[in-house]
Amino acid sequence: MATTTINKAVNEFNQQVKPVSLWADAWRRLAKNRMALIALWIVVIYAAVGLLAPILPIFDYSHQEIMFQNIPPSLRPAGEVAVDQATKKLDQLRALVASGRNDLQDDLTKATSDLEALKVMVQSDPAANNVYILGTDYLGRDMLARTIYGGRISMLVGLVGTITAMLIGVIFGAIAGYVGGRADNLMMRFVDIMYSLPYMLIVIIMMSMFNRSGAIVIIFVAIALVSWLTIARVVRGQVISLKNAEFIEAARCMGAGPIRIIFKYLLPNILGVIIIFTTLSIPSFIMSESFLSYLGLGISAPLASWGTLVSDGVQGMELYPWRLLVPAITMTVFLFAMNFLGDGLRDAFDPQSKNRA
Amino acid sequence: MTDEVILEIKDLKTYFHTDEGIVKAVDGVSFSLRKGETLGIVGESGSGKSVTNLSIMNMIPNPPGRIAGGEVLFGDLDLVKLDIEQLRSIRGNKISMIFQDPMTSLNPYLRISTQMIETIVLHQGLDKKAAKAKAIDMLKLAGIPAPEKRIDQYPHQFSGGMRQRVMIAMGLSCNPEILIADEPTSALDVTIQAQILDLMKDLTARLGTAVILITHSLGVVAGMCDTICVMYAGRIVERGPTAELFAQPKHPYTQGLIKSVPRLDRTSGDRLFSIRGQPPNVIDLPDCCPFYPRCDRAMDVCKRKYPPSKDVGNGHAVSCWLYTEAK
Amino acid sequence: MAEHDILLEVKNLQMHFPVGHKGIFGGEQQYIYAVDGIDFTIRKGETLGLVGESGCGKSTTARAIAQLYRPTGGSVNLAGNELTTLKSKNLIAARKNMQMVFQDPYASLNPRMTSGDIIAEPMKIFSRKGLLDMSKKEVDERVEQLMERVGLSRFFRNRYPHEFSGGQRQRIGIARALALRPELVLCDEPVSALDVSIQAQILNLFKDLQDEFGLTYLFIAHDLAVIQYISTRVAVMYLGIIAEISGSADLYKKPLHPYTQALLSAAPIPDPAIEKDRKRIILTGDVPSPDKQRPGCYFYDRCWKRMDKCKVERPALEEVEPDHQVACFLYHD
Repeated sequence: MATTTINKAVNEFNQQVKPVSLWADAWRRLAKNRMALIALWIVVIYAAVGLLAPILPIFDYSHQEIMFQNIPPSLRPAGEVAVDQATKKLDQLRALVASGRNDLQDDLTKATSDLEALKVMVQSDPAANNVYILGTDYLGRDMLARTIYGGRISMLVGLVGTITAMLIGVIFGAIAGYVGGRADNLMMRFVDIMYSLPYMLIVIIMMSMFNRSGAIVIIFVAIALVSWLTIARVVRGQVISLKNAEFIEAARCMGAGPIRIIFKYLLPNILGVIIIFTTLSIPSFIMSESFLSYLGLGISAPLASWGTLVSDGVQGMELYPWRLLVPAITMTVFLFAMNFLGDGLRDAFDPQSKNRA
Repeated sequence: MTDEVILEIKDLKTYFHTDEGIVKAVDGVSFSLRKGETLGIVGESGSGKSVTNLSIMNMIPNPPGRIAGGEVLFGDLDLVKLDIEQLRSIRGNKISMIFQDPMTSLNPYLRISTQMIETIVLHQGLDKKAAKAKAIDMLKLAGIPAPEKRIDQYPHQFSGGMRQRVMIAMGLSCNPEILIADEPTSALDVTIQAQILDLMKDLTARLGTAVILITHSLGVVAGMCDTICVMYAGRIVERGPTAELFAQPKHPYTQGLIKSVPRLDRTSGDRLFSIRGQPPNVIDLPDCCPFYPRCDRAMDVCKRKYPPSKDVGNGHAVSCWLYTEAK
Repeated sequence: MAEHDILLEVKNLQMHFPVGHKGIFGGEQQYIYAVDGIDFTIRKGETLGLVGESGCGKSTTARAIAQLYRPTGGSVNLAGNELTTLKSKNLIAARKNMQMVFQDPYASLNPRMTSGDIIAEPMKIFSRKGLLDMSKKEVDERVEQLMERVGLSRFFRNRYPHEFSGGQRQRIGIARALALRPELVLCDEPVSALDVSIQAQILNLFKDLQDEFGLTYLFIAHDLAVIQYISTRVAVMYLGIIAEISGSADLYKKPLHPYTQALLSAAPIPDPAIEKDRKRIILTGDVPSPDKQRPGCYFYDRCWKRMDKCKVERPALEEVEPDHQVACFLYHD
């Protein structure tokens, strides 16, 4: 047998024999996957920004500056930008009137006096010095802050919904798979029935019924209610394929009861699949929530989520494209990153490569 | 068996490039095969016997593996240097292979007839009808009852032993010069194994086919082979005629192996000899005799250099510093 | 207590597995008769080898004895305790005296537990149920002792199974089986998946442990030579029944049942001088599967010495010589 010290083992050929835990192995494989690593960083940055939002030097997301509605993204102070916008509009009007549109003469006069008033106000209003990097929305609220806070809500929905679904689904699936027989049959028929219900319809009905009060919680419940089904089926399948493995037989031979076997023997070996599913269902949750918000059944003002922001942004899409593009791109990047990460995790946890013979 | 050499392997090296380092699965293997001879390659897991076998037919998955050196001379062709088209005309035709698990070498979705006819039509240029007749003949030779009916069945309708017979029939259907059998009976029960080995012996003798038989079982090679190569950690450590090798094993590994196999005809109840330690991890192995940590007679030179092959007469060669002067 | 007390007594053990479902319009429920009535005893300190080909029911027998499958018929009596009727806590308590070593070193250890945890597991389970009184320190000590005893360095107790070789994993499995100091160890093909040179090490380990701890083994294998080396007595199984039981040396010198004779004749011997001249008994046909009960002798289809009687009546296992039982009409009368 090789002579060893606890950490630095060498075998008889003086080759280093490094202890390798299964997590370290998976991490190593993940780290080699460039796309997945980039995706991981993106997710980490998003999460950090979301968590630290209250202490970040950004504007309050619900504070309205009516004077500075619909300011495009810019690094110049809002006052200047507003004046520029008004000036540009005035010039356009002038040109139109000059080319024969006399019906706009009144508008031209109003615009001219508005511009003068704006210039005066800009001198005195401290808010005119604000720099809105990503512009403002139709109520003069900072897009950057709203997107960040919207992200908090969206990511929270994704995370909490996923964890809830996962907890319910994993336990349900594990018990059904391990116990088998009639109980398994009944449990799975229940899942089948739930699956066949028109999910979107139910969520919409629920949201309409329990509207306004505690809207966020209802969204979690509604979405989680249907999402645990897939993970339950997957976990059940894994448990069934594992439960006749020799190490499970060995555990039973030692007198281990079903609870111990499920939690200490089966679930740790299915963890890979569970993690992968989790990372892939977070984007799914976020999209569901966005869809609901877009329909007007989601988060209510002044709170925002990426979904509500997109919904608001669509209305002014042609004139004020940043109001749509900013939240849309932010959300899309996050979803892409989660998906790539999920793919990378699936490769990293591939059980085939775990046996280094 | 004649003296004509039909296959000559010279210093074959097959390496696999993995994350953890270079696995020198086959590291300088040389042997020759004569017409009609049955050559056995014996080794444990990690010895490189299966990789040697795949290297002969250039079937190493690339990446991560590749043939890093050496020659495989079949007639005047070097199989290592052939392109895929030339290789295809030889595989199944002049050199044929059968594997341990017939379920993975037979396509479960195709009937036996389809699979057998395909090979015959491809290599022998017969039309489908004639090919089918030939296939039925081969199945009959292989001892499959009612071959005309069974040829149209699917692999799952055959038992393990029957499937192996089908494999043998397929392998020999083009009358190859060499049949390579990689652990053909390891997955079979002992009574079926006896049937299959008997069949192989009979058919190859009748058709004059040379056989390379790869196995971990000393009992099987003792009964089937004319010559034996013993492999350890990617190299042949000893080679010789069967009777000679068993009667006078020279390499300490061979000696240990023979002594550590329990024998039915010895009921003395003496303690079984066992070689201490375990087979090495062949990743990045240093230049030494890979057996030295387990060897009772290891010397200093064994740790520093791999011993060259020494001919000890009678076609018997061994790679061990006990028999070669260290310079 | 007498040295040669009977430790395990198995009577008419049956394991019939239902297959598929009864047809809606009433059809016969199909069964696999994996074990169809076997009897044997094992004395304290001895090793009974159980040998046979695939489908003969040897693995099922071990599991039926261990109550991993509850037998569908017959009785299993361990040290005076009838196991088939035990439930829950009593059954678990009985398990303390009977442990199992499994075949596949890659599948019999939980990949997510360290070797130390795996070996400590039986002790932890039993402590938790109040059936064992050991402190954590005592458990740790016993784990280290066991590891050293089976030839593993105790410094490896924090390593995971995938970091060990096949032979080492099997040693972990053996240490785990010994953790509770059982009297009976059921070994289900423990060396079949190992390389030849490692096989010898493990077989010797089994023998040494038996001498040191006074263990009793039921040792299952398909390799006759291995069985003959490790066993005091050998039982040959075929299609769920026992064809012959005798002392280990006797079995080779004087096999009585035609199946035993065919098995011995088929087994290769690593000696070319012997192999070249061997006259083999080649059985025709395949190893059948135990999917129906037959009225006569189960070996009838492949037996070259069969008689008319064999087709209609099933021969019982009878003692025809001292310590040599055989189920064959050639020897009854």
